[in-house]
Amino acid sequence: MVRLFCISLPFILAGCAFPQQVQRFGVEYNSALETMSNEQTLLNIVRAKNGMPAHFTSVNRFTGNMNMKAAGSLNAALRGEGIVDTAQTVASLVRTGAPPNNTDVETDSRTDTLAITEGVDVYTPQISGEIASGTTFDVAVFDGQKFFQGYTAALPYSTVDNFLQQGFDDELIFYLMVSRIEYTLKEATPGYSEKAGDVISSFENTPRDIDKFGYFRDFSRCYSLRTADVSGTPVSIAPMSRFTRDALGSPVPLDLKHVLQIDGEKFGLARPGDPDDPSGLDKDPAKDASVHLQRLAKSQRLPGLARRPGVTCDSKAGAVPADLLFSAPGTATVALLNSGTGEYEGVSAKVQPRIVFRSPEGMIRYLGEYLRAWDKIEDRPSLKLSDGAPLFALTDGRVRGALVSAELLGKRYSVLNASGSVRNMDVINLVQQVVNLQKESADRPLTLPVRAVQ
Amino acid sequence: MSQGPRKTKVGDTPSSDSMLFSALQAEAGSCRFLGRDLPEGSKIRWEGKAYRCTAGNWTETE
Repeated sequence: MVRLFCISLPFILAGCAFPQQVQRFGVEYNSALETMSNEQTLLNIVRAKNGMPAHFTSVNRFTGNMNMKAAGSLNAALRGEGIVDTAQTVASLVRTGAPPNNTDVETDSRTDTLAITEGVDVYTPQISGEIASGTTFDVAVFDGQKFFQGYTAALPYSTVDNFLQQGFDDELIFYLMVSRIEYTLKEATPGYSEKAGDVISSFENTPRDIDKFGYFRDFSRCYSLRTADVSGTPVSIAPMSRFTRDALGSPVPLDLKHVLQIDGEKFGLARPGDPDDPSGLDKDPAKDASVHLQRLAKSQRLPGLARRPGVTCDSKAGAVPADLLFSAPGTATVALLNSGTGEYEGVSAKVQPRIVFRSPEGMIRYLGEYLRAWDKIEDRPSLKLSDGAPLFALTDGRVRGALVSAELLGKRYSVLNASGSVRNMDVINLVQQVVNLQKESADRPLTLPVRAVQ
Repeated sequence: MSQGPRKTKVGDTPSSDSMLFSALQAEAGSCRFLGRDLPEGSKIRWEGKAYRCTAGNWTETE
């Protein structure tokens, strides 16, 4: 039993060690990838700060193999135990004298010995073990057309909305993902030059121009990005009588079979010309001729600019920002050119806000511009967010315990593990996510202003 | 007494009707009025008074 145990021991030990090795390797690879990913993101931001293009690589396949050998052997020298008879008989012949008078004396002697021996078995166990591990990985370089088509395309609002719904700080999203907010004129005002659709006000989120950044910052103090569910308007397609005709082409009264053929999720019936009850069918068949097939209104999730509570934005006293004076939702006092006098005047007009969202590339470049402005200007408070902390901050040099650090052109930059670092890491997290979300696109990059609700 | 539009540094706390003009210097050679960047030489009329954009600032002309 003991022998069996000894021989089995190395295999038992090997079996115990294997899962631990796998666990350790798995976690270590995970940490290595985390460090690589964070450092690469920071490196690209620092590259942007220096006006350099970003570069992306990733490990897209990690294969680890582990061979574990265990060997055991047992050499044994076994001896018996018991009584050993060592009796000896010695015969001797002794001749004395000279011939012929010599004398022979013949003697026999016998020695009886009984030896009691105790057997001792000698075991020589040999145990040997070997763990050999190897890793192979593929590094993917992202520099193809499909990557850049996604990387340089503006984020769709659905992506921005998802981050908002997932609880990211809306101010952070606002700064990081919104490139510009602009107001267009909804309808022309008689006597003024601007046409419907003309941009009559804009707030550009660019730290390149600290004044423009200031307007945007003031705007963001007043308004936050919120998703608005907007129901559309049903569209009348054609009178039903166009579809319900007999063999001679004459309209026939609506039948149940006609109604059942309509896809209720997309289309409906209505009587748009009936002021009393424009919905559905009337009990009077004579009114069937006025029934129209309608495409149902689709509700949309649009970006909304919602007033931040507790901030006075539109009144004269303490107006923040003073740039736009909203008298009612969708109506603002804007500068329009009086075509008669050639002077711009403040005119109350219906306006339509729209938002231009950044691309992942735009986000990284924006952070680079922000860091450049932070280094350049003395008026740093104007670059801080409403909580008084910067959007993103780096410390020069290698710092022990830094959350992330990266080196470029012989200079090291670190993200400190200190108060405020949560936002820094949120920034890195968001950048990583949007780059990964838009890593490939079959379409040409496109940035279109998105209609917003206010 | 109205001070009229004034050049305002970004970061100033808006406190008076002068801020309504938001006559901030947008960039050299342009002035900003009600969220709109207007070129040098533009004229505005606000509360009965006329102003002209000169060297990035609104100056009263009447």
